Amino acid sequence: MLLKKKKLGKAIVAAILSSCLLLSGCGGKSNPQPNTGATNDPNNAGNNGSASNLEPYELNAYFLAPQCKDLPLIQEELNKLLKEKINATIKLNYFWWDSYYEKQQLAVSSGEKIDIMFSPSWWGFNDYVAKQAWLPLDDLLQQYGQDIIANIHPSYLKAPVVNGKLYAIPTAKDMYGTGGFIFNKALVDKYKFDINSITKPEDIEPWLEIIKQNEPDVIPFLSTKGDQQAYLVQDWHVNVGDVNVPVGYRKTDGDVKIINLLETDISQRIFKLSRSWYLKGYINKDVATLQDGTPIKKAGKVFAWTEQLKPGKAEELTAQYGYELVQADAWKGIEYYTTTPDLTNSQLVIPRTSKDPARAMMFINLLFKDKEIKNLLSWGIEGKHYKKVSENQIDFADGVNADNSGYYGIAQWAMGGNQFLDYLWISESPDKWQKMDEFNKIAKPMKILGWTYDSSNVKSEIAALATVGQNEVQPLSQGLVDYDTYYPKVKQSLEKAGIQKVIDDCQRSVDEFIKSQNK
Amino acid sequence: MKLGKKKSSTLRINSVSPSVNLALNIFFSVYCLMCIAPLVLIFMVSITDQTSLAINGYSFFPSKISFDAYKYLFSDLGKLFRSYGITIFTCVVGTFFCVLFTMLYAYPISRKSFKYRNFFSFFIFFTMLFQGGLVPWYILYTKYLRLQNNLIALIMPAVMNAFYVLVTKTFFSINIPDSVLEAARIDGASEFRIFWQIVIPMSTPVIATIALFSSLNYWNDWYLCLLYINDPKYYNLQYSMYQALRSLQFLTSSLASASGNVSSSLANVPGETLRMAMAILGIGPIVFAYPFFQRYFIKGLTIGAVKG
Repeated sequence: MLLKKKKLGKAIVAAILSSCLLLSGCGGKSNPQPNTGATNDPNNAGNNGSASNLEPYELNAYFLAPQCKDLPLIQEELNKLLKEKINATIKLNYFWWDSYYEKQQLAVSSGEKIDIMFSPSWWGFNDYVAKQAWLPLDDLLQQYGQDIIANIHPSYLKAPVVNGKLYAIPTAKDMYGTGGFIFNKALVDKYKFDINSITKPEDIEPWLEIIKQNEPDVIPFLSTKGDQQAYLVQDWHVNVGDVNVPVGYRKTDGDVKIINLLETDISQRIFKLSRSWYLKGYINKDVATLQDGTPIKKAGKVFAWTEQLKPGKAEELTAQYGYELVQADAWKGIEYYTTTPDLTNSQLVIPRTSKDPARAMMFINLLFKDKEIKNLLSWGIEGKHYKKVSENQIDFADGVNADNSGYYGIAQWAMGGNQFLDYLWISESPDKWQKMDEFNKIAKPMKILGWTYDSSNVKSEIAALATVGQNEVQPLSQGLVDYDTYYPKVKQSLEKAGIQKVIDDCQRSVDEFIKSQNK
Repeated sequence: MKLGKKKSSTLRINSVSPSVNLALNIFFSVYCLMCIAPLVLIFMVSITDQTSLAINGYSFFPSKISFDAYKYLFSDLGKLFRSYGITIFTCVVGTFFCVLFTMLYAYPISRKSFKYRNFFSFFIFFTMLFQGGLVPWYILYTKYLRLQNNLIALIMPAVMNAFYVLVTKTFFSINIPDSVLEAARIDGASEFRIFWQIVIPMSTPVIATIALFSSLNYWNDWYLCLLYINDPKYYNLQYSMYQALRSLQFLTSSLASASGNVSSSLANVPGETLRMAMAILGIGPIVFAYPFFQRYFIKGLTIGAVKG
């Protein structure tokens, strides 16, 4: 009996040891691969575009995109162009929302050879950097990315920086988000509302009343689980992490102070506004349970809702929902600021497993200067998927529509590069990019641009706060309860969950960042 | 006449009192309704007009009926049939091998005459306690076995299941008496003959059980597809459904709104009715598995008894 037990014990120990070996083996795998980068290419041929000096190479790229039927055709076409320009071919791996996160994790941890990868800050970019899965790009950028530097706002290259090194190339696009309203144009015209007169969210209240009185079938204001709260305060302050964790800072020129965002006057004001709208019956009654407002919006039985705006947003939505919409900022006369998350929400990285990082950088460089390649990735093949109607505007090719197109629904903002090179749809205003450029110019970078919060010290507190945020703050955003009587209870839960500890830890991190910047 | 009366009176002796009977009947009727109602609701939603669904919400009696969701699904018949085909193929082939290997493993370790049975029992039991983990598993399949985008990757991982083996082993050691096997051996049957002609026919209940578990397992599987299949050509039914659901969940979550710009991708996600129609199609042929296997449960129970 004793002998048997001993044997069993031995077996278990052996098993544990061997599984440890296995685990460490796979951990080690992703690390060492030396950076063979720039050495492959003594002539620095990428910049001059003389592809013949380069060895043929296959790039392996991971993008967040739907798996379109005609992907092989796009790849083939792209290979022709790349062959000529940087003597490379490309293997495009498209994964959509349902699987990208898992596929990325598996591909990286199994040490697969990958050259280009979409890795936004909201999907574990910093964790990957901490694991040294991505290559630092500063030297590569200088050597092979001159067109990137020329075509991107300099703030961008300050954002995905960790410990002083650049780890990603962001997509050049809208540089900040501003919250605002989307209105049903037919109703706006019918009652002659002047959407340019809005200077604050309260201004639309009389309109909601008119709609409620005169249009019984129409929901005056559609709220999906209280989403207006986030959209209407986002011009004033920023969450440092998860939107459910109410810790963040005000947008300001001055020093950054970490605070509890639920207590700012602007938060209180919007909570109270939602409450009064809910009581007056402007907000849909199922606000607490409505998971997805899209079908209702598509059905057109809505007057207004909130959305993150950028120039041309209403046109994009018009194309999607099939009836005319207009947009209006919720606030006028306020300052706009760019923050780190705004600039890092779409970016490309070069993983350490790349055999030729230089070539990967050349490819990213092409996405910033080559209109043909950029539009091939965004819209497909001319004549097959789209046709040009003017210099910069396109429409579906003959006989093609959204349902039968073999390459459609790509999230252009996630394809990296310079979004300003993309053709515009016929439904969009032709000066969208100029407007976007102006929009970007008025935004000021905040003092702490490039700072990201590493919350590993207070992980359990953050998780607890997120739960409170999700369960107890939601009724406030949805207008189901009164702020003055309900908030003290929420505050208690937040304090119990350790909000002060998170605020302190976060403030310390900000101060350290500022100190290191001033050095 | 008389006989009939007598029969009914004996029945009455064994039966529960009418009031209890009534109560039980009502209880189970309600219970059955509660089980079936959600299915009916899913079906009704799947044939509801998308717009009226958005306005009125779920209802057993839709104000406007439309088969658009099914039309949309059937418009790409090739894709639908292919994913169905993949699911059915992996389900049938996988179940076959699962039952075969489970039997072949469980039988020897259930026999007392097999010297190393303890070692092999422990060997399979061990896999229930410790696993290699996701990443090594993934590396093994993609880098060494090179099974990415291969249907074998959808079948192989679930062929062997320690739990099934232990269940089968227990069945064998309890329900197949040594005396039967001894008799066969005396009559000159080889080990293989004993297994195929004596043991297998005597164990239809356990075979039916394992086959049912395993076929449900294969039918409902989407995870292996997520891990190992990149080519939409090889997507199975469940994974296509999972894809649609996940995309929608993600796009409507707070994480997505933080990244801005997202709603432009929403256009591609199927609406509520379409998802319900997919769920109805997903039930598909697998509902027939239950009555099919049930036959063997009953048959097995009657012939399994040892007489004397």
